[in-house]
Amino acid sequence: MEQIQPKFSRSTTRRATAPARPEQITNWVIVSALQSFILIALTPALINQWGMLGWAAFGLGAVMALLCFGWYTGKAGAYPMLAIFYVFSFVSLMGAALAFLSAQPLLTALIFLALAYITAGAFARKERGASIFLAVVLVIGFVVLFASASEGARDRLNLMLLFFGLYVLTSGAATFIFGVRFSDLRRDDVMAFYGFASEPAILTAVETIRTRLASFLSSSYGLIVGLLRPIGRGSAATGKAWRGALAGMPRPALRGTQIVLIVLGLIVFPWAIRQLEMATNISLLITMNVGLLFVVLALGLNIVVGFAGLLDLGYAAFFAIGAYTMGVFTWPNLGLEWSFWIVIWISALVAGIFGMIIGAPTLRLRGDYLAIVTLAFGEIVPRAIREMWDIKLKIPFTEIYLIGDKLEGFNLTNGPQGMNPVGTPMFFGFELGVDPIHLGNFATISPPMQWYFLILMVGGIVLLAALRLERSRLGRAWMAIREDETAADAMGVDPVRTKLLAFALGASFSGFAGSIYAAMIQAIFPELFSFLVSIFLLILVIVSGMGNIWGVLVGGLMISLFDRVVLAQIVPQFVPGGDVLQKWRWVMYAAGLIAVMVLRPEGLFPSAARRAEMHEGDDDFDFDEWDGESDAQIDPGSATPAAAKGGN
Amino acid sequence: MSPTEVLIQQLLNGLTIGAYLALIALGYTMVYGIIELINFAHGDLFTFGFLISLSLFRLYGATGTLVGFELVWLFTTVLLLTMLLTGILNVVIDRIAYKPLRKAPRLAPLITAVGMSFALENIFANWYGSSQINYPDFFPRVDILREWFQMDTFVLFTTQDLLLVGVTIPLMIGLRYFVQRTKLGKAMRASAQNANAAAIMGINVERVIMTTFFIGGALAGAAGMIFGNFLHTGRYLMGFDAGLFAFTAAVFGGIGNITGAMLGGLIIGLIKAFSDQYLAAQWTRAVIFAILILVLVFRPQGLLGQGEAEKA
Repeated sequence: MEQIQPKFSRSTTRRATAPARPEQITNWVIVSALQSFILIALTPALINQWGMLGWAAFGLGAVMALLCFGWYTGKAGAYPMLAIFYVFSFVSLMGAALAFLSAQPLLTALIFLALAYITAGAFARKERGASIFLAVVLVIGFVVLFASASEGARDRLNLMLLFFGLYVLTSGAATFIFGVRFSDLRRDDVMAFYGFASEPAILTAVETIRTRLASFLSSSYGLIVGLLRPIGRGSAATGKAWRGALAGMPRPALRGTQIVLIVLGLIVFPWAIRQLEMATNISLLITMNVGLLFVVLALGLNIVVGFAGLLDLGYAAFFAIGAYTMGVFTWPNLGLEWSFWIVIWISALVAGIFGMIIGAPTLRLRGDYLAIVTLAFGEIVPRAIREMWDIKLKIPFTEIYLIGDKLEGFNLTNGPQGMNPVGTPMFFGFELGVDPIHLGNFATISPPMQWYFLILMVGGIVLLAALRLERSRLGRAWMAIREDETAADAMGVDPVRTKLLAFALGASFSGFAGSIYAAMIQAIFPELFSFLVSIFLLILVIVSGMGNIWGVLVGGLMISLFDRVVLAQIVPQFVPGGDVLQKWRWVMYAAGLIAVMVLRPEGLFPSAARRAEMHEGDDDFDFDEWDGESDAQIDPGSATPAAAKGGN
Repeated sequence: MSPTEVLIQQLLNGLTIGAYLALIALGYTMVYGIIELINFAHGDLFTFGFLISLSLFRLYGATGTLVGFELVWLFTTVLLLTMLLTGILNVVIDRIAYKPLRKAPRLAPLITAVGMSFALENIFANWYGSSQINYPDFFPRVDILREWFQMDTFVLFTTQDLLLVGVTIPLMIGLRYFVQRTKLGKAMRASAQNANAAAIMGINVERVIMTTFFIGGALAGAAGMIFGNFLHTGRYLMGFDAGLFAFTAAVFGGIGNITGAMLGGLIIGLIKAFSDQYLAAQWTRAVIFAILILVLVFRPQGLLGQGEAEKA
């Protein structure tokens, strides 16, 4: 028996799991419309009027829109609550932005709020016409805008509307045919995006910015589509499988097209960032590289804290050791100048050895003591490095010097002045990371991009290693130790040796990353490796869900990039009062850590096993909370009548 | 200064440093005894005592050395207020961060404690800035040996040293009396021995824990204020350093043991003073750290602790 589905009714009928074809087309059109809106809204001629509200609307709108892309691509498998949130925010933000543009702000804003509410409701109830309704909302929005705009703005709006329309039509068509968006409407845009001709002389500054932003969004679209599509795609099965991977289960095999999309997206991504950099005049790629390196470090710390359950508060010390090993072996003043590719492995080894040295006496101790000891070690190492610029070793009671001499000690680390310059990787005689590489007239790989690719490769290696370790015998031994050391010991797992391996391996990963860090930033100081770094890494691992590799990857990326790119670069420049946020950012992160531990100790993306571990004691009876009254009900028909009458 | 004078000076320094370290160590040891948690944020309460007493003095309008009656009542009031406020802060920290995690696996409250310590440090950095903070000479500084006893010596023992000893020793004695002779103290000892059994006997363990945190916080706050009047300088990270030393002292003396904390504090203070003088100041930390490792590896129960330390 078929149920009638009226368009905007308040029925609660559910759609089928796999959306029908026409629905999907509508989705793509809506998606393109979103993209176009952002482009139009960013027309720099209007930017001056926007001020803080505009930038806030832009920022949040862009984020919401990108999230909406993901949502729209996977409407079948996504959670309805998120959808309501996105739709509501999106429409109301668009309303806010349009309100700013229009001549009657209050009216526009109110209209859009109401529309947002209705649209969200429609989506929440999974109504068939929800997306069409959204399209209608958008059209109404533009009509209202157009009608209320001032005379002077109208011709600009005409142009924008035309642009918008063309954009929607062509991108809708492309989407329908290929399923993936490619940006271009103008040949000049394509040229600019791919780096043909250094600066397009034809385009004015205004259009250049818009072009660049368009290309950024479009090219990152590819990445987003490639990555997000698997999560919520068509049949709910793939989506579920991927969400399971984020929760710690084995991840599903990637299909060919998905792999291609992801790899392409990752490769293209730095150029997209470059467009954004040129449009907004902030340096993003260099800080992003450091942020990515921190995620690699977080993966290493995940082995120590997440797999083996050892709280390591001095992880930055191994980072420092790795960096300074690279420094020692490649600093011109010390004369060694070995090849980068060899020294990174030496750094890993040295850091691992130090991990063993520190771990050996202390891993027998309880978790609390280990934490303090690693904390102290994390403090000692940068200090020691700071002092190592005048090393003299003298046989006592004689004047014989083994290291250094009477006047001047041996300068190992150049103390507080730091080591500069540190060596760079050589690639067949060509020094990476210093000069841009020009691929003919086609594209340019700037130095930060070169480092990006190197870090990507290193990240891949570390990720692979971590995944392999997790599934190996050693990994299982670690998890056994983490859950119950005594039981593991009884089953034949040597706790000290296993913990030592975790510690040392984690340390060696850190050393590996440290040496790359040193080569990347070229000048290292002891102050770079303070307790702040250790705590930040700990926050990355714990808040994301310790023990879950994909969780740490995703959460780590989110937090690290937020800190490095948004807070450090975007906020101070574009958000008034943003420097206040900068001052309080560590307090914010620490408060976040505390909140996570109190409310959700398993982290944001936990594996199911970890979540169970963390909530083990939740159902235990708490004598402290007991107020002396018994909650037990004595059933008169049960047990002995004497007990029922006499006791309570 | 002749070598003997240097030695005596360092002995005095060691005892004074040891006194305030002992106060902080007491906080660590009491909390550990009851809920088996190392309160990482305890060192930052020390900083808080320093900062809040400075704020209180400034609020009153005091700028230089106080004299006469004002000295007595203002000083006492600020001291009591500092202790009260720091104690309350510690209780608040417990309520927010540690109480919800009483039943959680051991790692959870530890991480929270680290996070809390970090948050506090950065709040202090925003409050008073990240450079050295100057704590004026509110308490008069009179070189006792020279002016009162007419001794011609380079050894420096001022009224401020006397203040430090004069505040810390009575506090420690007071704590000892409280723990040994009063009913609440008995409840604390009982809860430290076995919380469940204490609950069965009718002790409100949560209230005892709250009291412990309060007392520990008050002592740390007092230590902070006295430190300010004694060394006249500090920065937002001073709690981190002092906390590390005090924790070593607590472990050295036997964690969970109050007398042990006092003893450990004094000994670590002496070691610190001698290391600063005869080695270099930079290596003091390494020395203390080495002591910590040695104690934890070879005698985890400390000097006065009984029995084997349990496994994780």
